[in-house]
Amino acid sequence: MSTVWVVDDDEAVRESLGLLVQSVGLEVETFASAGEFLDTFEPDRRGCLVTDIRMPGMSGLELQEKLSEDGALVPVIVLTGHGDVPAAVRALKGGAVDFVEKPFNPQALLDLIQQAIARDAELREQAALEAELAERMALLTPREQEILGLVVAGKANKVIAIELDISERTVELHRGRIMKKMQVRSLADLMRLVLPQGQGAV
Amino acid sequence: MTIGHELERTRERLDDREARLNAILDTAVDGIITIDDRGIIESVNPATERIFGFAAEELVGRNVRVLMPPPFHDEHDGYLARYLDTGEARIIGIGREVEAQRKDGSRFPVELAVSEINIAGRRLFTGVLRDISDRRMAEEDARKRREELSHSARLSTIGELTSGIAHEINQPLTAIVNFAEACLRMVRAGTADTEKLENALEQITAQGQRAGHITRQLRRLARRGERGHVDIDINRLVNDMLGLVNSELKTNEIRLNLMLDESLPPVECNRIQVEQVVLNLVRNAMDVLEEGDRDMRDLIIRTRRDDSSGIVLEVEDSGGGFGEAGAERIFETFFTTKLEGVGMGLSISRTIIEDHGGRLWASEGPAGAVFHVTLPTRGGTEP
Repeated sequence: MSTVWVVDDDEAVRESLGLLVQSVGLEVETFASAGEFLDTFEPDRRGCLVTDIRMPGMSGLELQEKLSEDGALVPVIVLTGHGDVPAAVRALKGGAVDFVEKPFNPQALLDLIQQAIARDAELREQAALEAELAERMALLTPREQEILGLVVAGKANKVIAIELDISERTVELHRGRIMKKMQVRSLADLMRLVLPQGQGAV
Repeated sequence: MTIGHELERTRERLDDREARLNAILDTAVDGIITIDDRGIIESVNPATERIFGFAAEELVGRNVRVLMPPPFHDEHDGYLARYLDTGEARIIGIGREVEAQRKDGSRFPVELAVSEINIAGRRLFTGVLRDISDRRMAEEDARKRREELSHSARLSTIGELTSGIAHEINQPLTAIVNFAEACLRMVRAGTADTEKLENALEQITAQGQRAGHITRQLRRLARRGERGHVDIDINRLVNDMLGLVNSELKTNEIRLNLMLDESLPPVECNRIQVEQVVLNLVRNAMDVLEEGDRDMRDLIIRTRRDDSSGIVLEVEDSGGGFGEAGAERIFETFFTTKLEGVGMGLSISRTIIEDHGGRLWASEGPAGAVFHVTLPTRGGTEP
């Protein structure tokens, strides 16, 4: 379940955002300052951050910078006001951030939140897959990694045997162990697991 | 020396004196009118003819009220009778500015002094009056110029505040739109419970009023100016002005310390002008503080009663004080230490406060500048 974190020092705006997000069935947690949010923030939780740009203490942009420095994946939507554009442009260079100027169309904000949550889920899934892949790859011996690269490159066992100057039977044995360690049943599954992440040329 | 000779000398002296007196009356710039105790004009000098457009013959023998516009026109006989009756003087021996009326019916301001004389047992009254239309016009021109100046200063202050004010209005608007949208969704989805709806609708009302309050303030400041003086609660006025700069205070981490004396009596003043002064002092303090350290930004606003001067308003900052500029130079027109300043704010503010019978000055405080404003309260400022 994803959570929407709302950070705004203006009580009315904060509460209204809370109710708005709740009204579409999303989980919401509200905070009156960036510090309050950071105190309870767990980077592993799924969700998206909606923060005001102008706040006493740490501003919305400083909060975004801090999260980006800490390597937190959470997508950020910054609520800006009149005349905040130059600061916003500066932040755009800093990371993946959306900007919405107050007062905004609530539907537009909700759309952005949904997109951000979807993007967050996708990124986390991908990151999880990559981590998983890296974990399985780490189980392979250097020889197995070499052979995996050649297999993924579309080379037949016979060709690999000749290239590596080993018997075709040995290649088959390696392939069997690779399939097992990578937890796949077919060559097609192996390709699907390895290729989308750009690992095809290992 | 014979008695005849003596009489001759005396007559000559009297003739001489009368000639001198006549010359004085004839050449006087001021109108001089003598009336009897019923208000009937006995004599007028040439200046009176010139000022009022009447010939002397048209005036002598007529009631002096012919020279007065209503309501004095009808009330003068009564004034006179009461004075003769009770000795209670409204104008005799005092002198004041009153309205007069020319032959053509046009009115004009005069400064009038009346004295009572007794000649051979008859009570006569002599009025000396001066047409002060020109002076009034000059005063009016000066007032208009001042108003023009303070209006443009206000507009430029509003210009400087645009971003902050837009923020102050957009905050409640954002909240309203969100609350309303949330209510709609809950109602449409059938998930609305009365308590949630009630709370949201209450918030919508409150936020609408919050935005309205800001726009009212703004509209008043942008106005050309109201002439009249009204009873003002200075504490409330201070809070109203702070509403316009609230977000800037927060963004710039300026700690605001309000020490308002709740027992302040109302002050009779031109609201918009005093608002301008307060806003100006607060803005100045903010500008100074924004240049300083983030953790040293203190703004103190104090109000209190003062036995000798009415009420006192103080705006104190922790911005380090005046340095070389000095606490008095800053009030000079066009003196500024700001990059984008025009140096009008303080000199206009001082003019405004002095027009109200108060004072505006600066002194060095514990950590920066203190601006002091005094405004007299009605009903005397005596201890």
